[in-house]
Amino acid sequence: MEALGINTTWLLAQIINFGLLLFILSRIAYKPVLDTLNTRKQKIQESLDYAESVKKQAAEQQKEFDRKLEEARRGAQAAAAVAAQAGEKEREVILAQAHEDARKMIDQAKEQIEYERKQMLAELRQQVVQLSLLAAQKVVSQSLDEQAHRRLVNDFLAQTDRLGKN
Amino acid sequence: MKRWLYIIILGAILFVPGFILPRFDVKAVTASVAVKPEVLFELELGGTAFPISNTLFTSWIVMLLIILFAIAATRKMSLVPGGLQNVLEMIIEAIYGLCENAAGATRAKKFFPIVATIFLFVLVSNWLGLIPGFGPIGIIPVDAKHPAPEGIATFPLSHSLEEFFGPKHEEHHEYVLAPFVRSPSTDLNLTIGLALISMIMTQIFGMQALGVVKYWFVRFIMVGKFGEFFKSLAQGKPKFGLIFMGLLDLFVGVLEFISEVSKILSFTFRLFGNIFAGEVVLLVMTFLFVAAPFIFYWFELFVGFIQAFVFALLTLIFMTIATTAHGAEEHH
Repeated sequence: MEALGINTTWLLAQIINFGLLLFILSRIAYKPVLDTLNTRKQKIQESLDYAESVKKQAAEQQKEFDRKLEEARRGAQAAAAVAAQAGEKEREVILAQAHEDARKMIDQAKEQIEYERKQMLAELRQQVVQLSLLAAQKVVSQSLDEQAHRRLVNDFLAQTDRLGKN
Repeated sequence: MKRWLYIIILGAILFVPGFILPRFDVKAVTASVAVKPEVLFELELGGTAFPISNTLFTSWIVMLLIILFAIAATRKMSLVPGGLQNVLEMIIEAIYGLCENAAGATRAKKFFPIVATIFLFVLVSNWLGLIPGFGPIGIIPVDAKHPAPEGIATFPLSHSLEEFFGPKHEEHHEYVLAPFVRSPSTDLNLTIGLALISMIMTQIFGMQALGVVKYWFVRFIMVGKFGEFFKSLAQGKPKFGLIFMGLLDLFVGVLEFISEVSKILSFTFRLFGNIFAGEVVLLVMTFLFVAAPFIFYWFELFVGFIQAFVFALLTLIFMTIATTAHGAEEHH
């Protein structure tokens, strides 16, 4: 033992050293550091929990917001559809009115044209009669009385009328 | 870039002794490879003189370093750690995590201070001995009978140190250099002390956890089988096989006891052997080849860490086993 340098004094001294170090380190290092670690762990846990709750809240709010947005969108869509429908109806009404007006105007125009044509035809006929009368008078000179003449021409015209119609 | 600079500087520091030391004539002094720690001086306490060995002196330095580090690190404790606090927290958290993994949360609280203190103390003392230049700086006791040997430069300082530190020791018949600083791990007193603390605390924790009587009867004096035999005898159906089993258990208990005691020895000599051998290897390598200490330094740093870790870890494991209810069955 002596050759290896083992003796009770030194052995005890080393054991006391260790005990002293253990005591001091427990007081100044282990306890404060472990306490700090624990506190930090708790703080982090709390922060995480808080973050989680905030996240949940945010998600809820997002959902609510989405819901409201969807609602608004749907409302707007409905309004737009109603408006579009009304517009369509209005358009149809206006269109129908326009068609009606146009048709009326066309009819009027047609009537006018027809009337004028008839007028013109009548006039024309009158003139032709007149002319023919004149011409016939010239040709036949008083060979026929006026009444016979007129009948003749009218017959002729009636014939031409029939021809024109065919 | 900065990291490379550090590595180069460290390399140079480790390289230089290999260049310089062999240039000196050191034949006259036996290199300090004695197992026995050298006595530096004697301390007068209450009339009795306590010889203070360099290892004891160094273990005070180790304690001082650790305590100063702890004070510096915990001076301004804050929830957001920085600097030294971070380092200390990292170390403590790692060791505590280890304890928790091995022993569970409740036992970890109990084991942690001892395991951590063992680790820190052994680690710092292992590494302190490796600091270059600590080995060669010391006292060579000289007096009228033993004048300074040829080839050794004696500084006036060494004389005054002698006078300062008190009487010389007559047992130094050779000129032996007594380094001021020598790793406490190379002193059997420390390793035995730590081994005793480790094992005694293990037994105490075991007895606390299982109850004194149960602890002894479950682990070392296993007479349960005899009890069963007598019970079966009382019932009129004696099972004689139980006697044989009981004898076997008694023998196993004796083995168990021997293994507990031998743990002290293995603790003691594992740490001592590794660190002492490491320092001898470094010393030899210094005189052997220029670059050799450089390689062995890294190796010894590694060994120093591993030995500290192993000492702490084994303590933790033994404590865990001793406090587990059916420790005897799991343990060989």
